[in-house]
Amino acid sequence: MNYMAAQNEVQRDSSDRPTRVVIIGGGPVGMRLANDLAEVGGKFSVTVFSDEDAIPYNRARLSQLLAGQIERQGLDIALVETSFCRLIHRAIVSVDPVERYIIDSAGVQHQYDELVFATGARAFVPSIPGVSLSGVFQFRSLRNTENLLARKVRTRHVVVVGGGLLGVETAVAMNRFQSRVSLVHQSDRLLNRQIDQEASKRLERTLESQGISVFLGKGVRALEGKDDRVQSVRLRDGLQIECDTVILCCGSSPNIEIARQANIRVNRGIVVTDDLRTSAANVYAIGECCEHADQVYGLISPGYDQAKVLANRLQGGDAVYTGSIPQSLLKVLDFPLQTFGEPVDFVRSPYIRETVVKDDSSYLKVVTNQGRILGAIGVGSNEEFDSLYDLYKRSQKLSWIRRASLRLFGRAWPLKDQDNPANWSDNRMVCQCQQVTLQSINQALETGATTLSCLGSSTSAGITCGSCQPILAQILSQSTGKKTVLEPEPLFKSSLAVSIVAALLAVFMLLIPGLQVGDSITDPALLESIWNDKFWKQVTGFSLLGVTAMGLLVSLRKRLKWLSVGGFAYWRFAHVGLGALCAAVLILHTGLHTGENLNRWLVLNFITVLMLGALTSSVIAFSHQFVGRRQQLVRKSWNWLHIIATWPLPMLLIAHIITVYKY
Amino acid sequence: MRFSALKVWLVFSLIMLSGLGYLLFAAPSKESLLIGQATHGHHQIELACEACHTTSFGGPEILQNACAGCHQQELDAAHDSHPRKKFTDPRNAELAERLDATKCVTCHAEHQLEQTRDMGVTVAEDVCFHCHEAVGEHRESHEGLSFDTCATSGCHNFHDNRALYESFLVKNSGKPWVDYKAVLPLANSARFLSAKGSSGTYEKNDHQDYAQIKLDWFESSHAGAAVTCVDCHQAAGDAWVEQPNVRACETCHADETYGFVSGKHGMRLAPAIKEQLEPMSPEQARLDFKDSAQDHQLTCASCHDPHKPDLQKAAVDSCLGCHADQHSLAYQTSPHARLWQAELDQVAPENTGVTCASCHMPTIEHKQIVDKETRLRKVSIEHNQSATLRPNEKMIRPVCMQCHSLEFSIDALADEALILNNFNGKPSKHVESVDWALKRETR
Repeated sequence: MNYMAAQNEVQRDSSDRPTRVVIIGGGPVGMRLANDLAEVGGKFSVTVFSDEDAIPYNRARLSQLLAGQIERQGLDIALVETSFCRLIHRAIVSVDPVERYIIDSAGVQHQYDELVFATGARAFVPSIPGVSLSGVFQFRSLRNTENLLARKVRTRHVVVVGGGLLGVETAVAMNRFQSRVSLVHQSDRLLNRQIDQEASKRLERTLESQGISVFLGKGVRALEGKDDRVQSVRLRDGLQIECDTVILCCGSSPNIEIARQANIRVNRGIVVTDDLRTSAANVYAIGECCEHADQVYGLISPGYDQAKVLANRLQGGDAVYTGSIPQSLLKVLDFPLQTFGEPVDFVRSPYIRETVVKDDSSYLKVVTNQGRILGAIGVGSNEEFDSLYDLYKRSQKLSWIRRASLRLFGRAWPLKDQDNPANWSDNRMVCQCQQVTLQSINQALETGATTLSCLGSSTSAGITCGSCQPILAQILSQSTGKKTVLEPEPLFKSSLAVSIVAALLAVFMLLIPGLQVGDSITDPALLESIWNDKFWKQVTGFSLLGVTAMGLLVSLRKRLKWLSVGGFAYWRFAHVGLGALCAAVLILHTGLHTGENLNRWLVLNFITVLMLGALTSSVIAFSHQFVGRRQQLVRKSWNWLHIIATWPLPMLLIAHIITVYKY
Repeated sequence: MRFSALKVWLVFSLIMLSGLGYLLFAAPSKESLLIGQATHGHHQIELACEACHTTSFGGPEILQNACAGCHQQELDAAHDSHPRKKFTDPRNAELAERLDATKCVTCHAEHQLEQTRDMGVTVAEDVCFHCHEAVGEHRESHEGLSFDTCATSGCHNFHDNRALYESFLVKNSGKPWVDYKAVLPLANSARFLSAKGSSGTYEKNDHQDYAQIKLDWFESSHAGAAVTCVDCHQAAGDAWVEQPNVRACETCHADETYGFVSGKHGMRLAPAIKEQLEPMSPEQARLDFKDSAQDHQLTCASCHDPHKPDLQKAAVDSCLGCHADQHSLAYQTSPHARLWQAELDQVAPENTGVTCASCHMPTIEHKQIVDKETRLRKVSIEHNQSATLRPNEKMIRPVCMQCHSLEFSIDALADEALILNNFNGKPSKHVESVDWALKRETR
């Protein structure tokens, strides 16, 4: 002992001696730190103590091993074996932070310069009767997993106690054709720390569709058995579930006993500051055993974050650990579920908004406080989840416009990488008019389509309204490697000219004051005999109605297949022509008077529709000059503005006609 | 797509439909359906749609009946020179083809304020041309006259030509411009009213608060006619009404009330208006009024304090309490006002003063004999102050000619500047109608 202490003194004096870092715990976090330090090279001499016999493995993926989704080798954490780094399979029995040494289970004393607790946690065993019966398992370590794998073959009915992340994964992993699995959870929703009622319902449905019975809001009172074998689980409400295997997944408790014995300050975990120091000098703690800012993380990613910070610290850096984003991902199940932040059980405040986007196959919820993201839940394939996570990590705000866009269109960012067709999934609809998917287009490309017209004739994509042509062109140029030039729309010049006429007429309507009745009956004013005449007023009025109705046919042409006579461009030209005609008849009907009240709304609506229509038509006329999704979006959004503006028109028209004849 | 497009559109449409449905059928105010402001004659009642549009989805007859409902009596009294029957006569079918004068709205279209001319006319002023194109051939004097001068010069009026018959012009020509000894007739209609069903008692609410009112009442003509508190305040039944409305006055003063609700002062209270409208107030009117009077409401009691009816106050002070246009403001310095002041000062005989009411609420001598012994005829006050103003030539016979010559009256009423300064001076315009009539007569 004295010798070693003396040696220690000698070695500490020489400045080129590597720093001796001792890491207690060979779990994924401890190994991450060891590897990070080992990569630096000669500066550190790292010793890792692991109380497990196995090669260090990634505990977080044990459930996948249990499910048979990966092999044992897939879990291995390779230790960068250098002369500066070694792994010792022994437990540590005591620590002396004053004299800076530890004693392992073989009684050997190891001096250290820096000591790191990465002791992790162990499964929490609730104090209910019967937990020690045989057939009751925990699920934490590789050894547990091996036991369960053996058990999985024979069991007929497994009850998993605890519906947290691990419980759900375990239930799925234990689920086989011959055995029944029941999942008992105290809270009224699964994964209650991470997800809300809606996501829980979806998860529950998925689990039950796989044959797993889910008991929510039910605590376990006792495990009952005969001859030291578990036979049933009794719930608090008296329900009894027959079983032969019980797996306890009730959370974990940090391993802090050694630290406590060494008079290091502990609470729920080993208390650390922002630089991950414990109360003892040169002693650190990371991973599930540590408690930072009153928070003990039961997940793996905060441990990795801490390992990274500590690696920097030990190298003399000034990194600080400011807490981790609780982030989780449900593995095992074919049910993509991700969460980050605090999407549930957050502190209520009047500024908190929950934005929910959902359909049958997916669910996304973002919780924001005055634009600041608190957390999110994503179920199914969510294009926006990763972007939201990015935003959250960078502490950027999610503006109300993005939220509105998310709520309405399911997308907060209309333009981004996903706009590249190369990133799209096969069943994505490219041509909305004819319901052509990317898959059919790719098939057409494989069978040798090289031009837009080939694609059109083989898939009928892009030949109706043509608004997806820029996308088709983009797909074509990506597949052929050549720049595809769009053909201009037929009649685009005439369309442009006519829409300019329509726009001009609409502007006249708006800017020129209403016509007056002439001062003499022998010399009537311009158009007076039309707009100021009861008969002609009706003729022009009903003409206007007819022209408007015919204009609306274009919308049907897009949606009804039997109407697809003639190229859409010609229909569009007719539509634009009707627009111009409409503007002209409107002037005849009103004598340039914009009217009052309801009539004014109607006239202004007409003018808005005409102006937006003319603008849309102009955009379309020039659209062949641009390729790609952005162009399509510009074209689409103008078109949508035109359509949205048209929506009130029929109703205002009806109201106008009713009032004219009612009064 | 994460949202159902159909649902969004459906909700959007439903919201708009329900909004429109509300505006069309359920909204308390139909203002949003108003297609344009009504003319000065009807703007007070423009939101009482059913007053004119009596039935939904009716034909043009509905509107024609509505016009006639209020105006036919007046047209008949004025011996309408273009009555409807003239145009429904098959012999005039050709004329009716040119101008469908069987319907009021042919010339008086409503809700088109920007095209409305004087007298609520919405056609060109030379409308007479349609039928009277050849008038110059028969009348030398009219040769070469443009057709927009027919009405504007104070010669012709499409409906009411009583003041302008040729024989009338000749008969009344050549008199001095003013009769200095003229005395206006004295209204006597109220004197012959009896208190209908008077209880003869005023004791019902004999409270200290009413002491002054009781004193006033004792001196009033109501007391003289034995009209007591309950006759007005409990006219409708047992319940005491703190402020009796027009209907209470109407019980006795039926003619006056009819006049009141026929003119712009009381038209909102006319029985033809089914909607419950508030009485008219200056803030809703289109003339100029005193700021302090903007929120006043017009009922009988606005001009006549019911407890001490004072005809002198009602003749000028009540009017000028609200009206503040140029013509009204100029009254106090006008020759008419000087006559009134002399009468008030008792240096001139009774009824020689000329008040606002003298012209706008003229005393009308009726044929009806109210006292058989003295053969006294009924003389009442026309409470429709608008009656003599559409157009103002209607004032010549009952008002101006009480004191002035015909020629002077015609000229004065044609001179807008003179009207604005309230007849302070002599007319600078001259209408040749009397000259032409005399010339034709002497030939």
